[in-house]
Amino acid sequence: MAKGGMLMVTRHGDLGVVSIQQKQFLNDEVINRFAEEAMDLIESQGYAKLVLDFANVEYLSSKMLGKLMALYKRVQAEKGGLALCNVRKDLREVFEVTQLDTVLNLHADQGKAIKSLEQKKRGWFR
Amino acid sequence: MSAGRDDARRLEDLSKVLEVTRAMAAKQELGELLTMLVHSTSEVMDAERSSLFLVDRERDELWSKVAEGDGFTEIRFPASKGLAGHAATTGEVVRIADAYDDERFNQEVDRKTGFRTRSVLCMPLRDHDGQIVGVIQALNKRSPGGEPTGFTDYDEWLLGALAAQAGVSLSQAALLEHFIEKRRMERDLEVARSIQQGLLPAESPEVEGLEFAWHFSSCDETGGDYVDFLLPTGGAGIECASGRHGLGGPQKSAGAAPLSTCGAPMPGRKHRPDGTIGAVIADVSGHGLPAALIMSAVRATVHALWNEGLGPERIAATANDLLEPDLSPDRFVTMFLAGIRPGERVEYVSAGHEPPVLWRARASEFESLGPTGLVLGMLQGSEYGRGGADALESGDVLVVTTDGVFEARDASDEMFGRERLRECVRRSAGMSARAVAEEIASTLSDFVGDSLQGDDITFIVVRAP
Repeated sequence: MAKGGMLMVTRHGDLGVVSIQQKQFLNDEVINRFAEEAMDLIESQGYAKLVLDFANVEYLSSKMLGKLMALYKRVQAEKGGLALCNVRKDLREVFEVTQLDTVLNLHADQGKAIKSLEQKKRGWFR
Repeated sequence: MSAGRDDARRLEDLSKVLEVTRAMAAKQELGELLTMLVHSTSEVMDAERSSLFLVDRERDELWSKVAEGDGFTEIRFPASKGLAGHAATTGEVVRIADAYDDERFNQEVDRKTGFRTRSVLCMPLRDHDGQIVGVIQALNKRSPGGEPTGFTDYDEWLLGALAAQAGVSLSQAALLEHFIEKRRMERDLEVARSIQQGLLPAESPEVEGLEFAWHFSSCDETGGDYVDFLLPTGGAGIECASGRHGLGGPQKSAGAAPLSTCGAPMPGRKHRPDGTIGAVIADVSGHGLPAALIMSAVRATVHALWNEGLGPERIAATANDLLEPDLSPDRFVTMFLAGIRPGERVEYVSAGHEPPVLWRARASEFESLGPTGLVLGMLQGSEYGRGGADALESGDVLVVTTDGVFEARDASDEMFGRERLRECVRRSAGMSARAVAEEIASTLSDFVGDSLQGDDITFIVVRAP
């Protein structure tokens, strides 16, 4: 279990399945805290691949998208992978308008998300 | 000592305290005040050395400014440390004959300075509300003959008199310093704001067959939204109606009044463009000064590329590659840029931007102009497509907004949303572009009420009359 309150992580080797416990990502403080905890998983806890499960998330702002992209770039630098799953329909729209869904892979469930990352050998992917 | 000599001594010492009080009033700069007080305290108390510390509640530290060379240097330590810390936290007077017999004494300073602290008299300084704002310390009392001795009840009474004055003066000086710094920062933000205001469109284009209007309102003194009209490149003799005027009615936002103008053509000279007019809206993620600085870079880039005659999708691709190295990994810019000519197909690029609303009068329905590429500044080498829509016919209205419009919230935290915007446009589509813009702005304003504006609110209206 990861420290801090927001992320519950289950380890599968160097892949972490992260269940996000926060419902709303609208205010700067909450968003920054998410970014710190998530970055910590890559930087200090040895994860190269992350599946972010958004099942509990009801609202997110564009600033949160920025943080997800920063996480994606970090994971890329580690030659790992990032996948999202269980993103609610109305939230998917934010990803679709910004077209960030073409970069951040959104999957229907954890299983598919894990599979997409495990299938990739640790290396560059687009 | 006889009663007469006691009184004489008290009078003499209190005169000294009064002199110090007068001298304090003349000094407002904190460093100078502290230096003066330290010297005066030693003199009044017949102490070898004195020190003065102020409480920093935010950082839970005691600090002082010590004269060094031509300026001052700051020293800090935890608020609970040493005898000074004890006085600051408990409000008690500390009077001891030999500091080294007291375990609370912090020996570090002696070690650094080579001073040998013996007797100590230390008490809190309070402001006029009685709050502890610092600590005053007299060290190594000297007897009339010059030998080291201890501090007495009388000394405690005397230092108390001095401390009473010093506490008030110091807290006022500290407040003044804080206020001056705050004013300086506010002035800098004012300058930034007026620079940004200068970057907004000076006028809406006035063109036969098209009406333009716009609105910009930042939630801080400066904002990350960008709105602009790019005039046709090349050609001579293009004269624009000039001037801008306000929308009327106060804009509600945090802090200083935000930039807020609804540009509409002033009656004046018309011009015939010999090319396409660009209407552009961009939204830098975040808000406030950092976003405004990036907005400024986006504007300069888009202007330069437009002047090169590049099509909208090439502008987006080039701007993306230019901006990406300079933006932090979590920043991006959404942008909608359309080239518009009366009676001709609208061609646009949308870099991850909120789809504009296009009201078609003949069909009485809305058309949506979807994204044609990724947000700007995220990934080097992103590719962008060119989107298109049929030419604007009479009564058609194009409204391009930033997401601050939809995300504006009322007192019950409900969002304005897309449907309300569409309703506004539907309701006012028969009126001029300016009237549509005013309708949107006033509906938004009424909706938000007294709630603080959480994001920049920006939109453009283009209408075919």
